[in-house]
Amino acid sequence: MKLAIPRITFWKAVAGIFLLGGLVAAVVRFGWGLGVATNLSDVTPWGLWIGFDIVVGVGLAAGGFTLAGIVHIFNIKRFKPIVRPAILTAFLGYSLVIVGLLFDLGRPWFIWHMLIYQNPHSVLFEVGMCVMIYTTVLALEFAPVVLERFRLQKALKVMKAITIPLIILGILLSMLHQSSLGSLYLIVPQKMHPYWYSPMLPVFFFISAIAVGLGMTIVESYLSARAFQKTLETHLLRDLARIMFGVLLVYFTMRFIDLLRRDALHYLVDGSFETMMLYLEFGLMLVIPLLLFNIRGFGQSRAGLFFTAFSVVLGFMTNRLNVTLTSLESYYREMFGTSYFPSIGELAVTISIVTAGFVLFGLAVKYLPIFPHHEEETVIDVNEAPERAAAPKIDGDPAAQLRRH
Amino acid sequence: MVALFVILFVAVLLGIDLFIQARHRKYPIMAAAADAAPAAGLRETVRIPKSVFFHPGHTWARLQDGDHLEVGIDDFVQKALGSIDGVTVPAVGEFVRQGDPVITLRHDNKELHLVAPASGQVQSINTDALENPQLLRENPYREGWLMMIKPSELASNLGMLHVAESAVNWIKEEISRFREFLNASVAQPAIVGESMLDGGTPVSGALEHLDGEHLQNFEEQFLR
Repeated sequence: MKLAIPRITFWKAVAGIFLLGGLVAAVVRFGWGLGVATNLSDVTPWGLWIGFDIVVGVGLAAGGFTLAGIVHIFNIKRFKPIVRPAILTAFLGYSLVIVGLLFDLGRPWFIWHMLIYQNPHSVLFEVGMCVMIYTTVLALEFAPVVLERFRLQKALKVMKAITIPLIILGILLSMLHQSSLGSLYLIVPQKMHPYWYSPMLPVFFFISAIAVGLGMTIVESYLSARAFQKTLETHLLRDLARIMFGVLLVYFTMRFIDLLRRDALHYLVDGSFETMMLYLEFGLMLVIPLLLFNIRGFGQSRAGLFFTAFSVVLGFMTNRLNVTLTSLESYYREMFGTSYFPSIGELAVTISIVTAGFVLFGLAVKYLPIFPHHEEETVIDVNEAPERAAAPKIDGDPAAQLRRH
Repeated sequence: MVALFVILFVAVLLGIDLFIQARHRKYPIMAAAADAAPAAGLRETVRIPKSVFFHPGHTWARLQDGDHLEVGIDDFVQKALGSIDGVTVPAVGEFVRQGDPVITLRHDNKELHLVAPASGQVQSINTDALENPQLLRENPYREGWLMMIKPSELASNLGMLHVAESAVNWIKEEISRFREFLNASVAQPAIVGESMLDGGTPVSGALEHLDGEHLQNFEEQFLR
């Protein structure tokens, strides 16, 4: 029997290297502990794994509840074709957040303690419970895709019957923990830079998650269409982008008023690293996407939509990393004379988790009915169209001799 | 510093991806075709959906909700024209007759007139596509639809149109005929320019190089 060897592309090779690096780092982490594997310390206990794998990861997965809410609660059915990819992203995103958390916990095998030894006064407890329940809800929301694939009609009927309660529960849980991730940082006002510490952090986290959830849906739809040669629902993504900008404008208006109210605007001219990072955040998340989206002939195109949304995603990442890491840097420096930069092991784990997300998303799209069935079509290669007899030598008007009979 | 590192790392990965994509698109004419037809990779292609009815004048109609027809221009003509600067269609409420020129495509100062694939009253028009003709390029059969009509003689009109295998055979024939048309025009090199001198048989953007007279010939031979 002849085995088909898949073609190794550049990105497949890179993904393989990243995953291998992550595997080695995981062995070091679980074999020798956090002290050897990471640059974390008692002074800087939360690093890249919390900042990126969890705080960024949960936000990027927000498209699931946003799209599900738009379609099933607000009943805007035309967005239905992109609900499944959004829920898949959310499900994979939350699953990988949990994987990231297991790396970060000193003794991950005690994670179940949260269920028994509850501390209802802790924001972290709320986040933990919400993420746990919401991941279960996402698994149930995603289940119809698998049931459909294996034609399990009875189970599919049951799942469809509980879709709306599940979606409502999912939205409720998302509202709770997306905002509570911001609440985690409310207890360290003296450590954070005034740009990012705000009593409004929970609200900012929630609103920005809605915007980036829509942005991620555009990015993943574009990349999937490119990788799997599917038709892109450009008109829907264009409308999503418009909604995203609406949410972003609300978000940045609130951010600006908040900075103004807390008298933090005067730092904008101090030329510090934090100021540069704030400009980067605002530029990537609002200014550049707005400019890109409004370039005539480009902004509304497939590529234009991708770059617009990708910039929002980058800006969102900058914001979350600014809140979780940049805002604390000067405090560490001034109080302890130290700074934090992730170790190779931390970087390898984070990169491999993101890579795993891409690989699993690709496999799901390939083997499950994630994207809507598209109309069958024939693609004719222009150069394979049959040659007709050589054109006669033309005198006078050449075209006139080729009139249709 | 960590935030900056992460963003730069992601930006570098995006840059590498863009570089790889750019290398795959070595020939711009092919890249344009691929961009418009993702299913076709980097080949120069023409798409024919199975459930769409094609008028020999390179417009299409798709039955919607049993009693409406969505109407647009086909992939062949939009590729041949290269880029479209503007589109004009009849106003809502107007009656169009099968075979009458009702759609106008503009490129630079040139115009092409395409016929209605069926008769009926215009019920709605796609203002998104009229404001952003790029949509016709991205997917002329979906987002690039131009108007919705309520057909008046559906059965007899559909009999005049190509569908499925008939449409595939017809469009292959049209590509061959178009190749001959261009080869005939290349007898005067200034007309079609360099694109025909590389030994290839390009379709994408070929009409951009024709002058008014030859464009009119194209209209008479291919769009009626």
